[in-house]
Amino acid sequence: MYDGPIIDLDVHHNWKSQDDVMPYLPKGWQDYVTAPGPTVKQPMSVSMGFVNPHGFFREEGLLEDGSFPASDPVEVARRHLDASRITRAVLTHEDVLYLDALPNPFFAAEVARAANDWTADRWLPADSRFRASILVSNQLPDLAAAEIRRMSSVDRFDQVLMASNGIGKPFGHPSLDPIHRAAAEAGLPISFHVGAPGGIAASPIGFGYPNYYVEFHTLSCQSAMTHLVSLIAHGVFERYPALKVVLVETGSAWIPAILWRLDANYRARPSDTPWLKRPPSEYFRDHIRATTQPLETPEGIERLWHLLEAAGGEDVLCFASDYPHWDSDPVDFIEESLPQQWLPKVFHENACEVFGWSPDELEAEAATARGANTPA
Amino acid sequence: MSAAASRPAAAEYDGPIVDCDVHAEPSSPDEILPYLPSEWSLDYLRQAGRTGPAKLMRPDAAPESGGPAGSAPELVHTQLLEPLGIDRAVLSPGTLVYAPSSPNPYYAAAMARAANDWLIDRWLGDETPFYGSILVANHLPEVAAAEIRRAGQHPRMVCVVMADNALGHPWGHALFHPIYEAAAELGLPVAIQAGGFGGVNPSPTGGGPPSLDLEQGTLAVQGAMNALVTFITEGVFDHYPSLKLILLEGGVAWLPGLLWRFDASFKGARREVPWVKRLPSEYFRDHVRITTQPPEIPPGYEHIVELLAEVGAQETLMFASDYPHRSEGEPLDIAARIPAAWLPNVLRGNALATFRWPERGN
Repeated sequence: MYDGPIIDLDVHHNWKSQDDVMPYLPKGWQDYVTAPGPTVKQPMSVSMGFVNPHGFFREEGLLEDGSFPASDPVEVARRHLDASRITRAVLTHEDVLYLDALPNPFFAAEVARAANDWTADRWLPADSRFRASILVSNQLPDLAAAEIRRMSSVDRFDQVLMASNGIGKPFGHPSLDPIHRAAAEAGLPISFHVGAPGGIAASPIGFGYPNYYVEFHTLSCQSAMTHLVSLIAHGVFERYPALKVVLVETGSAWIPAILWRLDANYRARPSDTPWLKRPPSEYFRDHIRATTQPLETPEGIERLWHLLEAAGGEDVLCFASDYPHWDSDPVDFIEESLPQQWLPKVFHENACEVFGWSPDELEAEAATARGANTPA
Repeated sequence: MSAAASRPAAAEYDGPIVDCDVHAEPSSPDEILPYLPSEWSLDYLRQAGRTGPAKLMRPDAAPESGGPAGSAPELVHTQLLEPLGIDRAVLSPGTLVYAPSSPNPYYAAAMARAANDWLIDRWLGDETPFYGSILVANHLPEVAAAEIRRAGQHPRMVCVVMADNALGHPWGHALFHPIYEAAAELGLPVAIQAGGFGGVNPSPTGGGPPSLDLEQGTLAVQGAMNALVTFITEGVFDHYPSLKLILLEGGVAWLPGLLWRFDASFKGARREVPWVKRLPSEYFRDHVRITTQPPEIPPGYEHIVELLAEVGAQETLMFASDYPHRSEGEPLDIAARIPAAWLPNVLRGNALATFRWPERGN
């Protein structure tokens, strides 16, 4: 059994209601939220219009007062971090995560600021294992860059986070350069969480919006595919050689095929992208990591291993649970589903490299936790 | 002499081959004008003057007498059919296949109709190895259905083809169903050519439309994925149980990963689509055929083929050369990368069972 450190790159912390985050908005924007009247408020989040008809959350995540799962830091620490032996958890928001799709781009930027301040105030102090994301709205990249610079000096804000596509361009497009630059200058990785349909977001799947949740869930890997190709093709990693990118909640079994095709197309006409100095797949291996969830599970899981080996396998995957969603992957499941020799890299070494964390420090924290859990 | 006497690869199978994707090009725009109502001539000539796909083509496929690659039947014979031992080639109308990317629904429909009539007259003679694809513009699905019923009367039209998506919805969406109903009624499979960039199309990729050729060429797979998934989730095969979907130019290496994911997502959300009665991967085997171009799997990764076997590749893969488009390696390289036992199916049998060949009738 694996008993080393476990870093979870996708833990969705949530508000009980948007009123929790309201006090962190400037007064003028608070008025904007409440102005429609006593019974109607401007939403600070975007609904995708459908959820899984079988339920969206793992039942064990529900709180006793019936409030949203993962809306209480102490409960998240107890139910997830303690129960799953998580050494560090990167908080990735829930309802507010898709704010890139809010129609008003200036409001979206303010909500991102407020959500970051709320996380710093209400979540980080609750447990030393929590790490935070600098949530930005990509609609106005200059405002996003300003928010990255504002938060990058705040302790334990260790990555930039975006999800839905509010700018309508794949994330390697030069119109997002201010975000790439600010993250690179701050030495922070950018995490691209799967985007959602809804609001003004570009569709996360090709050829229009999905009609059904099952279509979204199956094809949502397409946005990650698009962003991966776009980041490499536009030469983002030539401009920012230290930049790292993490693809979150989009699976991984699609990666080898897309890298093969990308390399073949590049070999056919390298003059189309003269700014690239190496085969595209090399940029991928040096700069991009993918989280495990949702882990594709063919009958005979070793088939997945063979496929992933073609894209770097154990060097590319980082563990993420997606707690508390219905399709989250528990630690035990990943432990059973991947080759044992991959586990140190997948559970913590790869993430340490991305975040610049010390594996020794993580080992020490994990050892302390093991000691604390050992009956006296 | 066996059909494959001169072909280098595929020694394990020496019978004739069916090529599911060959692009036939007009020698000049003038060749199309007689088939097009005169009010659209100027629009067409303006569009034809703009298209410049030369860098995508095999440099030797353009006839010395002039005209673009793929415009001379005799070159198709000497460069493709004879060396590879192909006795049936399914033609789509070259760059005209993208004419329905026009936002104008009436022009798009007129162009599709003209392309079909031109293809029949110029290429589909009785003694030829050529068979045709019925191009339709999907802006007005009822108009497209009528064109299928019209052009489908020709015995050598063996499938329907679309590359552009004018409705802005996933390929399986109910708005498209009149097209699939007409195809099923005539026993014609529907081919979706990967791509769908520009013009009337919504972004064919998730997460926004790409801007560089390198991005587009790579991400074109998403159109094939979209058609595969949404034909199943939107119940197309439940409505039209005899219908087959053919994926062109979308590659194959992504297939196992997508089907693993699709089955898992379906198991987790099936109440939402109660008309879907079986696992998506089972619908795939029964109804979807996927062409080999480009094969994607690089030398050294042949073990990935085992994963394709698990999802039913032996029954679902069909050979396509994509002539005269250029690609890495030779068209038959795929034959060396799949098990020899598959070759009779992949090079011939699956295609014979899929297209509406004249001898099969309706």
